[in-house]
Amino acid sequence: MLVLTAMLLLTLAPPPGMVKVSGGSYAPLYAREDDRIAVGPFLLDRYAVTNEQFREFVRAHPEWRRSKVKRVFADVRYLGHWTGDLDFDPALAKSPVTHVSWFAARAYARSLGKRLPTQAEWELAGSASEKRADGTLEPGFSRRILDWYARPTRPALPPVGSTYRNYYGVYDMHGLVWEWVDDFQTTMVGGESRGGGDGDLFCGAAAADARDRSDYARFMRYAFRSSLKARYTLANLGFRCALDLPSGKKP
Amino acid sequence: MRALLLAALLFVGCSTPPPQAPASRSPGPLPELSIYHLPGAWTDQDGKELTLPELRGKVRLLAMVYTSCPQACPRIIADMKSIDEDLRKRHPAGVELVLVTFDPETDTPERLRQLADEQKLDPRWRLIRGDSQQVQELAAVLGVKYRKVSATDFAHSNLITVLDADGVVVHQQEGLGVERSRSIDAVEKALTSCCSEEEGP
Repeated sequence: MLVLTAMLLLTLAPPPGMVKVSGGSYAPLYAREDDRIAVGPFLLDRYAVTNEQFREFVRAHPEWRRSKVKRVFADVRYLGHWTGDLDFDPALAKSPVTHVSWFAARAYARSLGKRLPTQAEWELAGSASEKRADGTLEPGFSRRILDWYARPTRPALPPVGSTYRNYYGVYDMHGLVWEWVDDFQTTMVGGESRGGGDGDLFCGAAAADARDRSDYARFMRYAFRSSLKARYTLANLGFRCALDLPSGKKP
Repeated sequence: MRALLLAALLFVGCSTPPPQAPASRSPGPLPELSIYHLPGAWTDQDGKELTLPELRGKVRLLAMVYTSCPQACPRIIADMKSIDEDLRKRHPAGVELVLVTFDPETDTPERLRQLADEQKLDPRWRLIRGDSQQVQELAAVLGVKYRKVSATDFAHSNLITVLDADGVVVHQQEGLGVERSRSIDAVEKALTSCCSEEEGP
């Protein structure tokens, strides 16, 4: 039903709270230059999901309450900044929900007929500055992101919308929380071989080297994602949802 | 289903006394960390449907592979066979083994059957496929990384997981041709804590 409603709305305008991100092409960090991936246009939440919104979800889906969730889907710190199954400091209502696992984020998205953005989609949207779709060449853009990475996580997160609005009308892609992507587990960083180390860890020969080592901020995000497990929850890791456009089928 | 498993057991372990029906244990709820909480129906190499909770009751070795994998996957299977052979010296019934495909589009039950035949895998091996969501979620709980790198190829971590009888990950062996003693220890520990009635004297 929700999916249907969402589909119906799409034929008119982006659903409330979502904006259209026009597609582009994206070169994964670990790929050959000719391996650019075409990213079709898609819809993305304007803001990260808030504590308040996530509470509505766990109210309706008790299996995702702190006291009920299966440990295989979320570690012991799941919603650890809340004071109870449905309670948190009211000052945090509009702050991004964190301490959520990949499974929980996906379940939230699915409950609204949405999904998590792919890594390619997130990176495409995240590379926009205030003024341009591709802000990576703008002086200071990468620097700003790196400065944020260098700061410790604030004990109480500010509300969503408190950093910057980018070219697409999406807020806080950098500077508030890190965000889950649907395919985080496809991120493989060199030296991934925890055990073997005999050079043939992967079947695919293309999985070898970083394409552009100058984009250090992006490298940090890849390293961060590759360190995650699906049940992990962290104080600075939240998410936002995405949705296909009706004609936005990926090639 | 049960009868089949039983038949498989008898087939591979002629010298063992008839095992008690697995149903004689009262299983209780799955432990919180069991990967068998994952929802969805899977299909095996004989076209039979199964859900993960049906795998409960046996210690298992599990790995994710795909049938058109040129190098790493045959070696994963070889490593699983070698762990199993070693175990069967002391536990005639051995363990159950599960292969899950990364590539459900290509790997039909027929393809899985073909791989089982080529590799001479006995009926204790289940080769299963789900939809891409299920594959993604299973890989997520196991910590298996994978990515499609071409029309026919996947990059993936090489991981053999030991699951106890309740589907809880008790050990993971990463890499190819690595020392297998820790996996064997983990299986033996899991066997003693759950399945002693199924072992020979």
